[in-house]
Amino acid sequence: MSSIVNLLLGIVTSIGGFVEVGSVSTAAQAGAEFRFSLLWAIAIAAFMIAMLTEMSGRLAIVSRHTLAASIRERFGIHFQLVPLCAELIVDALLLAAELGGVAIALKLMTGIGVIWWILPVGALVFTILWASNFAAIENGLGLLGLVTLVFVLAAWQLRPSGTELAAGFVPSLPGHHLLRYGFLAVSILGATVSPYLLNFYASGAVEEEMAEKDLWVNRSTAFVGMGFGSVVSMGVLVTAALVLAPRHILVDSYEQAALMLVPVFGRWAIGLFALALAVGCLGAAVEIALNGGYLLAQVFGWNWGANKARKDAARFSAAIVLAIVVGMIVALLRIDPLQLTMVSVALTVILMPVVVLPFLVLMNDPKYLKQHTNGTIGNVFLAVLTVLAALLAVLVVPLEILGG
Amino acid sequence: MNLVSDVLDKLLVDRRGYEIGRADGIVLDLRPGAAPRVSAVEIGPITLARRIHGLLGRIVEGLEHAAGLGSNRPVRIPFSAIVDFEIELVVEADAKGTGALALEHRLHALFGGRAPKTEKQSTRYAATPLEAGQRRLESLVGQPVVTGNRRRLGRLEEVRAERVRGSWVVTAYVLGSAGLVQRLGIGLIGAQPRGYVADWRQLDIMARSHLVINCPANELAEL
Repeated sequence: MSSIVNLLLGIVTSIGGFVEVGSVSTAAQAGAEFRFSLLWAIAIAAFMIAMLTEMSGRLAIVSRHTLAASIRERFGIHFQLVPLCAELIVDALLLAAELGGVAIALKLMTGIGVIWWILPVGALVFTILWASNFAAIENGLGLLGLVTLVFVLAAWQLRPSGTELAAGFVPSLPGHHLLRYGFLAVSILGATVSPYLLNFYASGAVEEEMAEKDLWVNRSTAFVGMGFGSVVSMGVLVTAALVLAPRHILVDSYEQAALMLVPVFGRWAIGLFALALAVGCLGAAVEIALNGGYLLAQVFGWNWGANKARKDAARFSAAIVLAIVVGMIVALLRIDPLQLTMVSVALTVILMPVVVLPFLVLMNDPKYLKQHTNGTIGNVFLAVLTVLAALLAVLVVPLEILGG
Repeated sequence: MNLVSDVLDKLLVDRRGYEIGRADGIVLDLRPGAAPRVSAVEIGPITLARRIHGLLGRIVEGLEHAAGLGSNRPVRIPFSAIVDFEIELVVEADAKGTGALALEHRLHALFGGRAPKTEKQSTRYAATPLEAGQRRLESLVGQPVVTGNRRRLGRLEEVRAERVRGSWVVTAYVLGSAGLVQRLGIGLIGAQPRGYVADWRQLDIMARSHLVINCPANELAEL
C-alpha cells in the first residue's frame, strides 16, 4: 500500500516539479517562433531524462550510493573534478536563474523591481530548506507545482488541431531560421536533462530508504512522472504557438511570455502565469540548493541527509547555505534572467557527455547493481546518448552564437 | 585486492555506519628486501588537494591551520583497522574519535549543537610527515613506467595487494592502458590495448621522476 502511495506521490510531484525557468523559457520561445514543430524535442528530452533518472534511482536503491558518490569511487577524483566543477557552476547559474524567475513572478504580481526580491526569495529558500525534511520539500513543493497545469488547461481550451499537433512530434526541418531552430531544440534538451535532477533523484531514493522491492516504483515514477511532466512543457509550447506566434510576439522576456495565458484566463492570466512561474522556480531553486549540499557531501564523504537535523549534518548544511549565498550573489549581478537561463542551459549541454559516460560503466557493475545491471536496451540507449551528447556539446556553442 | 579500485576514494565508515570520510590517500611502507606494506589510509582535504596539485595542497593545509582545525591533520587510519572491504570500508574505530570530523564538530557547535565529548583526537590517527621509507600510493598512480633503456611501457594503473600474516603487502603493479581498461571494468571493441603485470621486485617505486623496471620487459607478465 505504501509503495502505491509513494508511486502516486512520486508521479504527482514529478508533474509539479517538471516545469521551471528553463523549460518555461525554451518551450515558450519554441512555440512562439516555430509553432508546434519542436514538440518532438520535448518528447525526446523527456524520454532521455526518464531513462537516466530510472538508472540513477536504480543505482541508488540497489547500492545505497548516489551517482556523485559512485563516480568518485569508481573513477577517482581526477575524473570527477571536471564534471564536479562544471556541475557546481551550472547549478550556481541555474539557481540564480530560478531565484530570478521567482523574483520576476513577484514583480509581475506586485510591480516591485526584480532586484528587490532576490534577498527575500533567497531567505525563503533557506527557510524551507532549514525547516523541512526531504518528504516535506519534495511532496510539498511538488503538490504546489501542480498549479503549472494551467498551461495544459490553456492549451486544451485553445483547441489546437490534432493533425498539426501530431505532425509536431515528427522531427522536421523548418522553412526559416534553421540555426535558431537548432539552437532551441538543443536548449530544450539542456533545460530538461539537468544534471542536478539526476543526483537529486538518486539522493531522494536514499533519503526515502527505497529498497529493491521498490524498483518498480522507481521505474514507474521515472517514466510516468516524467512523461506527464513533459505534458506541462508541451502545454507551454502549444499555448505559446496558438497565442504568441499568430501575433508575432517573440519571447525575449518573461513579461512577454506571460501574455500567452491572456486569451484563456483574461484578467487572471498574468497572476496565474506569475503564480505558476513562482512555484515552479521556487521548487527548482530549493532542489538545486539542496543538490549543492548532496553533491559536496557525497563527493567528500561527509554525513548528509535532509531528514537529519541540520546541526547533525553540519558540513552538508553549510554547503546548502553556501549554494544559496552564491546563487543570490549571481542573481544580484543584474544579468537578465532569460539570458542567464539560456547560458546555463548551453553549459548543461556541454557537460552532458561527462554526465552520461559514467552511466555506461556504473550501470554494468554488478558490485553496485547486483543482478539489476543494465540490459541491452539500456546500454544501447546510453551508447547512442553518449555519442549524441558529444555531438551536441560541440554544436551548442556555435548554435548559441549564431542562433541564440 | 586491488588498492586503487577497491580502497582509494572509497567511503570509510565506523562500526555504526557513521561516515568518517573518503580514502583520499594510501601510505605504503617500503622495506628492504621485502614487499611494500600497506600502512594506512589518509583522510582529509589536505591529502585530496595534494593529489590534485601540490600548491593546492599547501593552500588547503594553510587554511586548515588558520582555522585551527587541529595540528594532527590529515587523519591517518591504520590499514589494520579496516575490517571490511565492500563498497564501503568499515573501520574498527569511533568516527568521532578519529579527528576526521573536526570541521563537522565546529560547524555543529555553530549551528547550536553541543560539542561531542569524544572530540579530542586520538594520537593513533594523527598523520606525521612521510618518512624516507614511505611512499604515497596515489602519487604513483598514473606515473609513466619505462624500461632500463627508456622504452615506455605505459602508466602505473593498479597496485595489487594481499594479506600475509596479518598485514596487507603489495604483490604486483599493473602497467599500461589495459590496466586502466580493467580497472574501469569496460570492454573495448576492436584493437585491445597492451598491459603488463610487474612483480613487486621488478619495479622500484622510490624513484621520484620516472618509474623504471629493473628487469627486461619480456620478463613481465602480459595482462
